Parts: sequence; C-alpha cells; structure tokens
Amino acid sequence: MSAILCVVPTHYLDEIAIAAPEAVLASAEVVARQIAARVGSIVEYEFLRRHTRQDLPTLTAHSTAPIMERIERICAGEGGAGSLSLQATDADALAIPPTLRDDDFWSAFVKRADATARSVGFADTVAAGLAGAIGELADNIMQHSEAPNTGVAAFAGRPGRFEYVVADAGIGMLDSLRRASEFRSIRDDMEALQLAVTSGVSRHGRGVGYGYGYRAVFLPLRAASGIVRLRSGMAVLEVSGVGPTPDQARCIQRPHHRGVVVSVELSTMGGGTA
Amino acid sequence: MKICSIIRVLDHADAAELAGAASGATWFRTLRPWIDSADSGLHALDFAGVRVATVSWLREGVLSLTRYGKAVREDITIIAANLPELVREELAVALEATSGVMIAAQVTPEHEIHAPRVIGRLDPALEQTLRVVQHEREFDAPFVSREVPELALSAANNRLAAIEAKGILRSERRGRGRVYRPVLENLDYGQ
Repeated sequence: MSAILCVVPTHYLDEIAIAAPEAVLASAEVVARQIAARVGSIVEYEFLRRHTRQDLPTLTAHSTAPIMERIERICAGEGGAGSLSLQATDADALAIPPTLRDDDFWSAFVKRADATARSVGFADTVAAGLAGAIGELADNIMQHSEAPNTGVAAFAGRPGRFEYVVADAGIGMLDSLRRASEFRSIRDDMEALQLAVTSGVSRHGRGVGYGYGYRAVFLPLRAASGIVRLRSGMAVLEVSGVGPTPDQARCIQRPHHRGVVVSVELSTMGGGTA
Repeated sequence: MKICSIIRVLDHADAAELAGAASGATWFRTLRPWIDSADSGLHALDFAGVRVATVSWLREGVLSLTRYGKAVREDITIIAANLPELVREELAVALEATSGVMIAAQVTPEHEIHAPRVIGRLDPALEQTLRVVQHEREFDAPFVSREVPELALSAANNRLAAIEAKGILRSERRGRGRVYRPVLENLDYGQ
C-alpha cells in the first residue's frame, strides 16, 4: 500500500462498528474530521448508523462538509434525483435512480465523475474506466440487490486522487450468490466476497456468461495506485497497491453490515496520469 | 464482401461510457428493428469514440444483437469496427464468456476493411479447422479432411457448418458438394 493511501481511515469504521456508544460519542468529532472528505467512509458510516447501529451520532453534528450533509440526506431518502445538486465539480452524491439510462441526473452525475477524475490528473482512459465502473456497480444494484431504491453513489476528487463509492442496503453478497444452486453451500460472507470478485461468478452460477461487474472496477486500476474495499454482511474485502487485482485481495471478518458497499480510491502516484 | 452499412454504436447510446446490463439491453432493443429491415450483406458496428464498454453491456447489447441477427437474418453478417484497445479486450472477454466469436476490423468511412480478425475463442476442434483454412480462398470438406489427420469427411462437413453458423465462413452449393470461403479475405484468427 502506498503511503498516501495508508491514511484512508477505514479502520475507524471497523472500530466504530463494535465500539461502545459512549466511546463513539466521545470521538465523534475526530471521526467526522477524519472522514470529512472521504465519500466511501461517509457512506459506510451512514449505512452503519441507519441499518445496524442506530445509536451512532450523525456526522453532520460535527462537520459542515457539504458532501457529508448531502450523503446523509440521500441516505435518509431526502435526496431525490438532483434535487440537492451541489453543482460542484469535485464531489457529488446521488440516490441511484430506478432507470439509469433515461435519467438525466444520473447521466450528468457520471459525466461529472468522469470530468472530475480527469481534472484531478487521471488519464482519459482511466477516467472513462472509472465512469464505467460506477455505471456497472449501479447496474449491479438494480440486478442483484433486491432493494434498488436504497442505492447511493458518490465521488470526490482532489489533486492526484479520486474516490467513488456505490452502495445499497439490499440482501448482500452472500444471499445473492446463494440464489445459484451451485453456491447454496457457501459458508459465510468472507467466502461470498472472494467469489464475488472472481470473473464469471454471479447469482446465475459460474461460467454462464455473467459475473464480470467487478472486472470493470479493477480495470482502471491497472494503470494506477489504488485501494478497493468491499463490505457486505460480516466481511470486508480489501486490496491495494499499484495495479491491484482480485486475487491479491485480503478478506477479514467484521461486524455485520447490511447490503453491499463498494468504495474505491485511486492515486496518480502509481501511474494513470494524464 | 463489401460493407453495406456502418452503424455508429454511440449514435444509439446515451453516453460514451457503455456500462451495465440494463443499458446494453436497451441499446439492443433500439437497434433490433434495424436488423429486421437491413439489406443483405455485411454490416459494421463502429465503435469509434467509445471510451469504455463493460462486459455486461457488450453481452446484453452487441452480442444480443449479433445473436438475434444470426437467428432471424442468415443473409447478414455483423462485424465490430474500429474497436479501441480496451473495448476490444472487453469484447473478447464477453465472447469467451458466452462461447461466441466475432470478426473485428478497421473500417474506413469509405467502407474499406483492414486487418479483419476473429476475436473470442472457438472450441479446440473448430479452432483447429479454422487455422487450416483461414488463408485459403476457397475450400471444402474433403480439403479439411485431407489437411487434418484422421478427420472423417462427415466430421469435416460438420465443423465447417458449425464455423459458418458462427458467422466466420459462408458457403454455396456447387455440384454435389458445398464450397466455403471466409466471410472476409485475409481473415486472421487468434491474438
């Protein structure tokens, strides 16, 4: 993992998930400051707070970051397509619309993500790949989550870095894969996550032409340094470095998380620059 | 074989980033009527300007269109033209995942075809047959049977028919036999 990516405070989220309420309250201000510009962490925290740990404080009580407020409102169901648009070029979030193709706000959102990635220093092909990955993950939510109305997407860019997150509060990876008869015997979320990032594996089974969504996630990372984090059920899968690949991923057990959160952060340090 | 028409992929898509199965399926539905009314012959799907196309999009969009074309219009062949490198790679993955093949080539606005190549992967028996005939102008089952050791004439016939069904060869009856030729001259196969 490169030095710049070591500061991604995902470990805060893992600790918060099991921390006593008073400990979280005491450190809420620090947490809010740490993840103020991290859309992946904000969404993960917000999903945790809404679906698993209702005792957690809101982050906006300790931060005025516009993207934080926007994500919080979208997760609360108050962020109908585009109604809270920041009109910002460096960060934005959107409730995933029921029909991606015909939704102008969604198209504009993906275009802004693409433009932001280029403006912070990524090559055109990398930026296009990132936009494609966001579209692919949003489509995954439609196809597999069984709760498409819970879908959220967000991105943020700053010089040399770009981050996006696509999340839902649906059935999660394990239950989705178990829809396939050959995967009914999957033991736990860790096994499910490792299978999910394997090409050709999906709820339709293995090697039947489906299950290439995460290929789109890893493709733009071929020429860049980055970190991919998947959280679903009681597992987190992470992989990082220059040109990370699914087979390098490390899976660990974590407190339960409803649905699926996919967050990806790229740095130009490993290449992929314009 | 000359190209009858060039269909720009992006003219029927909502963005330069082609991602997601649902978006691919919508693209296919948009273009399906075109297949029904297309002239007989060769048609090119022009990928110029496409910055990214995911496997899911290609499977539900382009591969659905070519499958539909093969099912309802035996008289037309669809090729992929001017594929950017990354899109070509994803199309190859989509083809391998669905056990399909497709011809890719560079096509100029004047409809000239350069460097046609079969992408995707044939099963080993068909691949062996195609490698034997790919640089031949015309050939028949007896030729394949002679070139491939221990391949019976009936098996050679079956293999050529199977490759034709995948849109790589075309044939005509001549006398009591059937003569095959590649859909395009100088057609290559493999990486």
